[in-house]
Amino acid sequence: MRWPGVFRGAREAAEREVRAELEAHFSGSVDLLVSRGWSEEAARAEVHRRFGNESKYRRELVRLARRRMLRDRALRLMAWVPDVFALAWRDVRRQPGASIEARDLREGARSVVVVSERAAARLWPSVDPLGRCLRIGEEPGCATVIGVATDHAGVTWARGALSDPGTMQAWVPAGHPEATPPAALMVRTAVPPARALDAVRRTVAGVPGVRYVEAATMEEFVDRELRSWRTGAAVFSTFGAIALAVAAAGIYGVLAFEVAQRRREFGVRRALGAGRLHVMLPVVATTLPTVAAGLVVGAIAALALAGHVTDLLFQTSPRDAQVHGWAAGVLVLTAVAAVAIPAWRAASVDPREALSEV
Amino acid sequence: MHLLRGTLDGLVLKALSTRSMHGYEVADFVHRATNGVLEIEDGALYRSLHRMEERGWLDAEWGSSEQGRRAKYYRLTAAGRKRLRAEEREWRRYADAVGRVFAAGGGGE
Repeated sequence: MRWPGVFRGAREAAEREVRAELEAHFSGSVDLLVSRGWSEEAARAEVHRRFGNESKYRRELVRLARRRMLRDRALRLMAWVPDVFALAWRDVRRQPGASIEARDLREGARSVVVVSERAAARLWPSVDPLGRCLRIGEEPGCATVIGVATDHAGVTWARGALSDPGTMQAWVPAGHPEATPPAALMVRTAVPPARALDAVRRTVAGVPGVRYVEAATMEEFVDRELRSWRTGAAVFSTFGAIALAVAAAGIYGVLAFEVAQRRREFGVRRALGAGRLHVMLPVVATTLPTVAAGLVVGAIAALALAGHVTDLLFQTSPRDAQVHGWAAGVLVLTAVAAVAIPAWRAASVDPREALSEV
Repeated sequence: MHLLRGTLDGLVLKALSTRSMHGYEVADFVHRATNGVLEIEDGALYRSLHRMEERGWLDAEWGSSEQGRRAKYYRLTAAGRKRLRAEEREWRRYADAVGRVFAAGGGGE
């Protein structure tokens, strides 16, 4: 039986692949020439002549193939500590009856592994990975896949994976000889976490081989990760607010100017018995085309550019209807507020005062 | 005649634009299409195939050839198709520019 193995010996695999490919090349090319009337011997000589410096190219091909394989098929293997892994275990699609309790793992004496969705999709493209076998490094036999974890879960468990989300990931119990030892422990506490920090720090520092311990609550940890993003979001929100204020001031200014210029006209209308609403509505209406055009152009631009922010979003569509709706709503409200004051002022012109200004 | 540097990728992409091929079919296509005017080493051609596979312009798959031999099939990806169009554009600009210089009066005999 053959199991997909954790990728080691990429050089040998690359050499194998290049050898097979070049063999196919030489025999295929000779066949082609022979089918065109060449003698076998002449064809062979011609094919080798055409290839050029074989050992030089072979070396380069192996180097390229190896680099590609390492990138495509490397599996990042991480160790889990059962009590800690339990936290994430809830989000894992599990094999029925599978357990990650330390006791079960020891007694069963069987090897188990949890793989990321990406790893599962690459290693078993057409079958359910649960219950399959994964050969890990030099280990005799294979490890049973007992769970499939989402890729983003993988990212939160192992910060190193953030740099390359395309990496396949797998988790094995701590102590596995092939796994990277855990660099971080998640501890669930019965008391508020902040109060347990000192105790955790002391305990972990007491473990032989541990040289440096940094303890933080999950909140602090997540805060630290998110700080730069929050700052960026705040800066952009501020810019947005300033732009909005400038736009509102612009609408207000233009309209207020127009209303001031047409004071007499409004006064006359009022004197002739026009109701407040009759005076206000035309003023409001003059801004409608501007606001509507702004909304349409803005919406089209926002939707067209939305794709570019996908990487910055987490479980939110860049074309989320609610978000875009709210943005449009805020803009319309701003426009209404900017229009309302001048319109109201137009309607409140005292007919006598306006007429006496002549 | 030797091939200008950097044009090999374009020829290989073009060869694969009609159908997926084995490496030696690509080589044969290029030799026949160029009528033997260009001296292209097959080794360089494979290097180009591998490099473009690594860049994601080509997809490769092992399959068996008509003679029942196992061989690697290469196929263009969407990125490869885009790259081919860019290469063709570039080449046309280049050839136009050089052509205009040679067509211009003066110089010569």
